[in-house]
Amino acid sequence: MGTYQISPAWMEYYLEPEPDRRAQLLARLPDTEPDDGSNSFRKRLFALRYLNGEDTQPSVDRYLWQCVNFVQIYDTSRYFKKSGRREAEQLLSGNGYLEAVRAGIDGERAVYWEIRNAAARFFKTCSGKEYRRALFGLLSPGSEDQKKQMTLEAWKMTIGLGERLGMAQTLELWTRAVMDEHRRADPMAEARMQKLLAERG
Amino acid sequence: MKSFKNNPIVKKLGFNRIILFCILLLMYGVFSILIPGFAGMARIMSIFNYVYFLGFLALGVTFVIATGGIDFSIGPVMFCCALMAGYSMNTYGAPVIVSILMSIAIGLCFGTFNGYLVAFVGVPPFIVSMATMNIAKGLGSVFTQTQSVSWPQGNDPSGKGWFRGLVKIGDIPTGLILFAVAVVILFFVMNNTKAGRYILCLGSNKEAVRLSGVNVRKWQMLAYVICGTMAGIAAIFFVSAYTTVQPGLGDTYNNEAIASCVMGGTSMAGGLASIGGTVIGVFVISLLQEGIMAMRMTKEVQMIITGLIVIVFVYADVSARRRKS
Repeated sequence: MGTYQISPAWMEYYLEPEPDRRAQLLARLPDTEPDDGSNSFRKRLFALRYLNGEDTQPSVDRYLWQCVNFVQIYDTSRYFKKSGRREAEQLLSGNGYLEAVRAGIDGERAVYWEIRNAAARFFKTCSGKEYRRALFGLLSPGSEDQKKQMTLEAWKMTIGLGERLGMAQTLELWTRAVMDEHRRADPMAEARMQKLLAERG
Repeated sequence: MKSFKNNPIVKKLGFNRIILFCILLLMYGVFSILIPGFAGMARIMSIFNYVYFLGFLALGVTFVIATGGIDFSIGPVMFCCALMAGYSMNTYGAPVIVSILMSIAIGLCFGTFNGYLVAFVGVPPFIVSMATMNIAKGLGSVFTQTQSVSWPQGNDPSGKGWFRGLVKIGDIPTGLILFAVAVVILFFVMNNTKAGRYILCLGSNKEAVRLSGVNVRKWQMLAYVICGTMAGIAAIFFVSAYTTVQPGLGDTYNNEAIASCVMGGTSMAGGLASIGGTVIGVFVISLLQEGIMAMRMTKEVQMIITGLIVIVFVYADVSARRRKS
């Protein structure tokens, strides 16, 4: 796997969390930036990620949903391993991940940064006051508890799910992108993750 | 201990659930030694009677807790359903089947009311369910003019007692079969359907689910609707086993149902629910109630013990989450 370098203009596109603003950038950047080979994937991944049915404006976020859903698939696949695997594969296929990974470096680059963008959006929700409220929603968790929980969920949706469903290889790029974004979102993420991995054996 | 925890079968079944099951067996053993005749069939049937209605209440509230919410109204709602439906049957001559459907419909209405206020109006679940608890108590009292309501006995000459077959036909505990069917259905709904997935994800990270384009209000409301409906069904099983319902009561069953869920592994922070664990929790609470009663302790002592159990398991849940994360 490569390092997936992109230009500063495309970096701006991938740092932008709002789908509407991203749509504007995606409409403009291919005309102003030289094609690094990933432009066609970017457009396709954008459509698969945000557009629902006949919609022309972003109305869903399938990559963000994948982040949330993978955590749950990890938990429920304790009983339903086969259906968990089937569901995970459907998600990966439906949002263009498998297609992009199979296409080589250009596809990988586009999907890697798309995942990082979704993971950044996910981790941002993890710092909100609604995240993981304890005691039937009555108490707000402390900041440290939130970060620990965030690390646990990053592990569940990547390494944990890959191990449990035997999909570590398929999820390799997904895992790498989520973990890279996790490290960016929290400076102590790496230390927390190492501790978690050690505890999990 | 670590190698036991890492055993694939233990992992599959869940360490906490295995421990809880062992506690259940241990309790049964202790009660059987301390109380002569406790291991007899009559006592077991009596435990089952408690399991039926408490089980339906606990299964319903598991869905609400999975969203990160709470419903403290389930006990009084169950009583309200039984009172209104029973009063309609006794006073207005409603057929038994209509009364049964009425009970379920009243539960559904309460669930919809709670769900609407929580999901669409944004009132905290704690406040909503506390208010609904009083509404249910009041409504049951007003509707029946503060009179207790008795449902027909099994040998009632009018033939209206057929519904008692829901819990027992001869020596066959039919209630256990119906409860098992409900458990299987709800286990499937929770773990293998879109609705269950959305409900769990809501409890896990509501904001991310909303940003994903999911109609969070609809699914959050559904959890309360399921809970209310289950309270309506629980009412049928309650009167099938105990005949008489009194207005103004029912709130003690909230604690018991919630305790069953929490000790079974459903997280109070939401996002994690165990239908199987709830079932074991229900058996533990039911056995405990029966044991306390057989030891001739008063209802007040039962309430103290149940309250303490809730505190112990809430504390265990909080500390386990801290350890895990």
